[in-house]
Amino acid sequence: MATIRLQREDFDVAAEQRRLAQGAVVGAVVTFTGICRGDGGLVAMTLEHYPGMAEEEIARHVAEAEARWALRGVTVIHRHGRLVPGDNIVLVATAAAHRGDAFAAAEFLMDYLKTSAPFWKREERAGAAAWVEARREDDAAAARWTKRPGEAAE
Amino acid sequence: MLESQKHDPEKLQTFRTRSCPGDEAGMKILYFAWVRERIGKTEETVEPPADVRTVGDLVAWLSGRGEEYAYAFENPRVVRAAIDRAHVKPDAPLAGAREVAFFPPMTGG
Repeated sequence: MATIRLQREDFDVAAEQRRLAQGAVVGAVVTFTGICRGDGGLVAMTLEHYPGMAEEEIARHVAEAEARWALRGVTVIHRHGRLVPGDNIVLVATAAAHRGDAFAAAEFLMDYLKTSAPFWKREERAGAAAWVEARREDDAAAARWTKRPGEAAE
Repeated sequence: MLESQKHDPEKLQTFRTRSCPGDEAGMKILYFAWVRERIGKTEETVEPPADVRTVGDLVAWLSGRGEEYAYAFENPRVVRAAIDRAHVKPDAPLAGAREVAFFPPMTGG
C-alpha cells in the first residue's frame, strides 16, 4: 500500500495527491512538501544518500506509522543529487478516513525522515561548500513520538 | 541441554565470528558525507584482527590506520554507524556483519 521512492527527478505533488485520494474509504489526504530554500545566498544543495539503507529506513518508519494510525495509504518520495532554490526535496503524503490520523502520521514521518533516514545535505554558497549540521530541534521533534510504556496508540 | 552442546561464551563468540558467511572476503565498510571526504574513499574491504568485536573497537582500529582515519573519527561520538543497513550504537557487536557504514548525523528531509 505504501509507495517509497528515491529519485533524482522531480515529482508531481498533485498527481501523487490524486492517486492517494482514490477510493471510497479515504476522507483526508495530508501532503507535506519540503522545498530547497534560497536564503543566505544559497546557490545549490547536493543531497547524498545511502542507497539501500535509505529505502529500508523509510520503510521501517512507514510500517510504524501504519501500526500507530489508521492509514489508507502512504507515499514518501525523497530526491537526491543537486537541487537549486525552489526545487522540491521531499514529499510525504498520508491518506486516512479522518484528518487526525493523516496529520499525525505525516508529521511523525517527516520528523523521522529528518533524523534517521540516511541523507546528507551539502550547501553551496558563493563558491564555498559546506555540509549542513544536524539540528537539535529536529532531534527533539522526533523524540516527541517515542511511546511511553503503557501508552495507547493515538 | 546435553553436556556436549555447552560452550563457554568465548568459544561461542569465536565460532560465530568464524562461521559467518563472507568472512573470508573481509568486512565491507562504507563512508558517507564528510566522513567519506576525510577518509578519501567511498568504500573498502578490511580484515580487522579478532579482538575487534564491536563498532567502537572498529572505530579505534581504523583510527590507527592513518591520519585521514584519525581525522574522520577525531570525535567518535559525532560519527554514526550502521550494520547491514540498520542504525547501531558503538557497543553493537560486529559478529556476522556483512556491511558496516560510518556517516555524520543525518540531515535529510
